[in-house]
Amino acid sequence: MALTNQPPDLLPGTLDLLILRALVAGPLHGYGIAERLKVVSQDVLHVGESSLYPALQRLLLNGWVKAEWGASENNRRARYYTLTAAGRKQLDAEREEFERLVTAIQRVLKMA
Amino acid sequence: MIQRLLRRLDYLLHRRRYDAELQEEMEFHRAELGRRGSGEAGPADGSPGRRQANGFSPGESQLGNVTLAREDARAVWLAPWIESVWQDVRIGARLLRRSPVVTIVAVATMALGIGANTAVYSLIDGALLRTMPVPEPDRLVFATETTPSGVSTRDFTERTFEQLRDDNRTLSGLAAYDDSRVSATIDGQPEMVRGDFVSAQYFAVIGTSAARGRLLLPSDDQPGAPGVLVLSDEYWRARFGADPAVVGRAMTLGGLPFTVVGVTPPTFHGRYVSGRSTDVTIPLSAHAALALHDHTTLELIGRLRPGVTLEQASADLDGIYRRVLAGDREAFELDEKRGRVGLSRGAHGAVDGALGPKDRRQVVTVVAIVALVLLVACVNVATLLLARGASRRKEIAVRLSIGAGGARLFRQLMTESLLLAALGGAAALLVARSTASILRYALPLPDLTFNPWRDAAVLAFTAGVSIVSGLLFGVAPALASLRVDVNAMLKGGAGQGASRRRTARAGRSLVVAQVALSIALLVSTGLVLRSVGNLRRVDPGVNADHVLETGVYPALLQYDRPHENQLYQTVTQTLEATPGIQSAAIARYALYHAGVNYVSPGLFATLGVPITQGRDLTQVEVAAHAHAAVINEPAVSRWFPGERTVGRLVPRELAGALGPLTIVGVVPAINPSYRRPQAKPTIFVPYTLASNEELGQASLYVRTRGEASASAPAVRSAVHSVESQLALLDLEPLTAELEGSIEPQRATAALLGVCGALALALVALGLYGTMSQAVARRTKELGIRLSLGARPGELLAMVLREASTIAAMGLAAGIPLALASTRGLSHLLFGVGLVDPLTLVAVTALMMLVALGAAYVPARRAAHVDPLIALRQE
Repeated sequence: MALTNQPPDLLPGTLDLLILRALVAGPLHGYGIAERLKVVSQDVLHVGESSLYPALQRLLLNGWVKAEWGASENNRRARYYTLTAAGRKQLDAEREEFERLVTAIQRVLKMA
Repeated sequence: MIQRLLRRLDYLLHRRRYDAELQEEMEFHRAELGRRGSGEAGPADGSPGRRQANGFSPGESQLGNVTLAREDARAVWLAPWIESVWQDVRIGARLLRRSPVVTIVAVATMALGIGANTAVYSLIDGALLRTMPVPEPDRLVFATETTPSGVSTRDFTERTFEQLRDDNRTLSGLAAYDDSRVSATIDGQPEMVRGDFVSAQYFAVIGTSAARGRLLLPSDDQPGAPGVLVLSDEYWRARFGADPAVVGRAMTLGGLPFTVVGVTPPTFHGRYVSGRSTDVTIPLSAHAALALHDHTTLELIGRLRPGVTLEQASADLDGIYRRVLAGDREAFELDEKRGRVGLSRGAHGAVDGALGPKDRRQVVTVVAIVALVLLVACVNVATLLLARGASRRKEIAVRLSIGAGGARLFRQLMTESLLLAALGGAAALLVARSTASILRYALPLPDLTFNPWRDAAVLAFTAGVSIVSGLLFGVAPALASLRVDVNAMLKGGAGQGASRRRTARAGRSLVVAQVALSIALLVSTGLVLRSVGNLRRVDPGVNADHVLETGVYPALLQYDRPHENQLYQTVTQTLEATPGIQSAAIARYALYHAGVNYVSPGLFATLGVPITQGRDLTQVEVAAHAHAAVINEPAVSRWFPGERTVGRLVPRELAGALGPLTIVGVVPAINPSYRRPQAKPTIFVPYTLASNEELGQASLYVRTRGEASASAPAVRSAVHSVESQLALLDLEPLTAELEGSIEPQRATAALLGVCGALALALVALGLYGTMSQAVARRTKELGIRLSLGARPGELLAMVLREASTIAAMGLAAGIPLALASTRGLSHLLFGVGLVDPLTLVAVTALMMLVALGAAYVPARRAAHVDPLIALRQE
């Protein structure tokens, strides 16, 4: 069974990191972010509204992303999120931290 | 961290927009899910494992989850404490709106209390506390000369300045300055501007640099250098609309060409910390040509060399001054000129020198008084809140009983008080400017222009005072509200024993104190108002209706004496030929000037002053420089009591250097103000008799046929048709000057009146609250009385009697208080004694009326108690 995507099961802060990473390529709306994560993770990470929107608000509050209204692919009003400079810095920092953590976990798992 | 806080605040302020955006965005998300979900993964492929894994595919029972998700997303913005504080503020605002009368009275009371403190603070801050915004302000010094008899001046001759500047070893720079009105013409429009004439090092000594262009250079202060000037920031904005291209513009000063070379920074107020700055700064070399004739001396400002003390530099300068005197016979002979030269600190430049001990005491007294006013205001508002707290007991009891924490409720009540204080503080800033201009009459400080909204120190002070007062008047009522017996309250019992009775007694004594205080305020207001009335009835000796007054300064346009005489004659003749104008005349000195005044014929007719004996001066006498004079009645009664005056010679004591003068007429005393008439012996002689130094400027009076101010443009254009560069200074109706002379009384009466009205409102609310509580507490007793046969009218009278007793006690305490406090107003009073029976009676009657009015509603309630309901209530 796939790893569930509910926040308690992800490492803390991981969702924020994933969202920031998804925005590196360019602005996306909320649904687009969920889709991107789903596609890139090859259908493993399904991010639901109940974790996506609080996470986006958190990123807004911290000033790591900014939001602007624009038109979606099918010309509906959609809110697009863009990475800010502070967000980019945060992404780098968290990414490093995450990799350190994953390496550590792998070391433990692979111990003889 | 701060940015996060600001974003949270932004959320609170635009909550609706944020929430709507979130909702729209999530709806979009769902719509997209629905649209694409049917085609891709989603419910259709419906493997149970998958569904459990994501748990939120569209369809069934998602509604709850969506709401939850939205709540979660919103909650991100709300730090828990912000949320609850915000809630307190909203509840507080709602409660304040619910009792608007109490809120308005409380806010107005606090506005006065805080406003008085803000005003005094800004005056003291501007005049005493603040230093000039220049580098090392402590090194700035002013030169003073103190005579052995202790008289100080700051006036020095140019020669002394040059010696002191060149020979001293203790100053890094010494500059001279003088301020004078200057006649300017800009784009063909003449006007009077305030000018500072300064020596080369002036700006360097003070230590400022140009905001635009450049400041004055030593090369500008050379004879024969092209005329240049620097504009002040204030004047640049007011006259040139802050034109960025002002540098290089041409201006005419006193008929000579000048070029604008720069603008000073907004923080620069010349030698002052703040306040009215000069309009233009001009090199000292233009002083002799452009300044008024009687401006012959200079003041000096210097900067100490690093490490030099004030005493060392003073000794240095005094030594040089002795040598100057020794070499200058003429100066040496002027005995009064032999004082010691010293230096005083210049950085607190708004006040001339330091305050003397008497002034200091006065400042301390005023500070104590305004602090007391604030305290009284706080006590009053606390009383108000206590009274209102009584009506909210039930609400608070309910909240306590369903488990609201006492601390939480306390915080909510305090938030409400702070909200009131904040409103009061904001209102205080609105009135601070006008309050300051009134309080200035009580302070030995100059009137400084300040904008409380732009002044960080004043804003911070007001905020601080507001918060402290909010805490001060909030604590007692909040604690009292929380000290409720929940059980008894909810049972609806009226009998709450001793504590309730104690509160009632405390409330009653507070109302007595309020009555006493308002009596004192109202008596003072009454006395000042009566003084205003009495002053208005004083005969100013002139008929000021339909008279315009202005000042002209031909000397500032390089007029020589023959041309100046010619100018006055042409101007008055041209004016008299102008439609709508009846007559025009000039006088060298203001009308309250005593001694010799130089005037043109027709002055008395223009001012509406009757000639009681003889005749006016004539044009022929003026043209012939005739030694003729009109004398005023105070002079007649002093030298010629009961004798024929016309045809005799003016007493030598009065004529002075003018020689023998034949009296041709007599006029009554002229005193163009409502101040106490103190007209002194005065003679009026042809202006052609004035020496060159004495003339050069004059007041111009014009009697119009219609309304005075309507003729102002006609006067302006008539004068300018004679001399296009002649500026008119303050062209105003003479009545405005008369009104201005009683401005201190009018302003004080206005301030006291507002305080008195508020105090009365507080008395009315306080009495109403006290009596309502008393009636509510005694409902049962009243019911018993009624059922035993008391008539409703008797009960009504009983309550009113009780209210009158309270008012009478307040009166008994208030009248001595009033008599003591009016002593401080004695300098403003005119024609009334400190004990004025009429005022006392009127104030007493007003107070009783208000007291009875306030008690009437509770009294009626007492009279209409239904015995059945009253007795069943337990």
